[in-house]
Amino acid sequence: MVLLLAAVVIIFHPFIFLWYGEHQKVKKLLQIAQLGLPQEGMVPADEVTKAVEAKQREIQAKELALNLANKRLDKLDTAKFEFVSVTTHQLRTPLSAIKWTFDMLAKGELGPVTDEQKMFAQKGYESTDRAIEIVNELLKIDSIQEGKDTRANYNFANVDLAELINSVLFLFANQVKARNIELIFNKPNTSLVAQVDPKRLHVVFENLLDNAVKYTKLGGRVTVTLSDAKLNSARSVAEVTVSDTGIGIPSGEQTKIFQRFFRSSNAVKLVTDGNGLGLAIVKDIVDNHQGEIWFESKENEGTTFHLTLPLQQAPLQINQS
Amino acid sequence: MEPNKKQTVLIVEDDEFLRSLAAKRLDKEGLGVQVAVDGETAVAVAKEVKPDVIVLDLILPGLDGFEVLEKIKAEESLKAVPIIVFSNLGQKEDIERAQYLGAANFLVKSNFTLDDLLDKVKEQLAAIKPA
Repeated sequence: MVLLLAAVVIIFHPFIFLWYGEHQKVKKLLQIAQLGLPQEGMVPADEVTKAVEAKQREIQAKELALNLANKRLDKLDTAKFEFVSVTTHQLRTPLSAIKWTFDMLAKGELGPVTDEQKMFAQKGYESTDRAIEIVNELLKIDSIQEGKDTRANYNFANVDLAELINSVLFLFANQVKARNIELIFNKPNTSLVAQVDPKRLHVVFENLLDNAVKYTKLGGRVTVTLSDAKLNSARSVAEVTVSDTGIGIPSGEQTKIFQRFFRSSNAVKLVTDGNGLGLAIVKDIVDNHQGEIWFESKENEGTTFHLTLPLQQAPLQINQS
Repeated sequence: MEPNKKQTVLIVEDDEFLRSLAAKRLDKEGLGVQVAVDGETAVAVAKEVKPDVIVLDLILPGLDGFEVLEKIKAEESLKAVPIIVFSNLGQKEDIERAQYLGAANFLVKSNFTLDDLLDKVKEQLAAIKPA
């Protein structure tokens, strides 16, 4: 009996479909009779619902993926912080041991030494001390990046900007000479005094110059320009540009350049060590000075960073309107 | 102070080489040196030998240096002993926390030499009022 029924279904199934199709048409006609004709170009409601549901599922899936990616990035960020702080702290211990040993050797505290031996021990001590300074710098970056450095900690003072920039340029004299890079500093005739935190602003120019020099090929040029052209605008600001003829920032990566730990692909290739924190710190400090920073860059041609610094720090949270 | 009684410094340091170098330097200066390699031992040795000064590392296995500081400052017979924190931690929070807990001084190891440490130890010894 069942078999017979199955056979009937198999043989007649085209007709059954036809019948079903007709049935649906009738149903739709009845619906139209009740609801009126769908307007021209309007997609039937059930299809809309289906499409919306599909989109919703798609969005949900994307959201999930983004959340996961975000969590992974957060983890990576934390891991990197830990890495920086652990390595720096743990580097200090063996470095202390080497430093102390050299010091004791040089001072003859571990037994008599000849003048030559003393000299070598002294050099060893000095080199170790330099390494320690680097580690200390890293720790400083670390603490700035952990968000411990807020504007409340800033010490604002009136500073001659050209003088401050000159003191930074001085640090790069050897590096620039060794790489045969032409370093130019243009400044206005009159001095420009701004209310800044000199130590932190020093870090800003140090980082910008460091990048400019590091990523410019031998024989290239780095130009620093201090300008008072924007002094007469609504709010008096000094503008500084740091321009290089370096490797540039690939256009696809330019939006990420101020992100912590980000290093552009061509930068990584050229200079393997680097923590990707320099520009994030720069941005943070410029923001805290109520200034602005932006850049333009072309790969293989160079990069120009512009930054503006108000001469006076406005009291915060004053609403002009 | 009794001139012929050796003044004792307790060095709490888990790194063997750093410990032996520091001990050597202080010993050379005629100071009595006791050492401890971890927090628990540090508290036990301190109770036993009643050192004149304690040189204390912060990152230690088991009880860390901050906890050692707390325990020693809570001990009636030890709370007057000056403690020089000698650590490679050195962030502002670490220094403030150690100060709050009663440390007499805070030196970041890598930024000082053992001669500097010796100076600070002597400074603390000179500041101790004769009992």
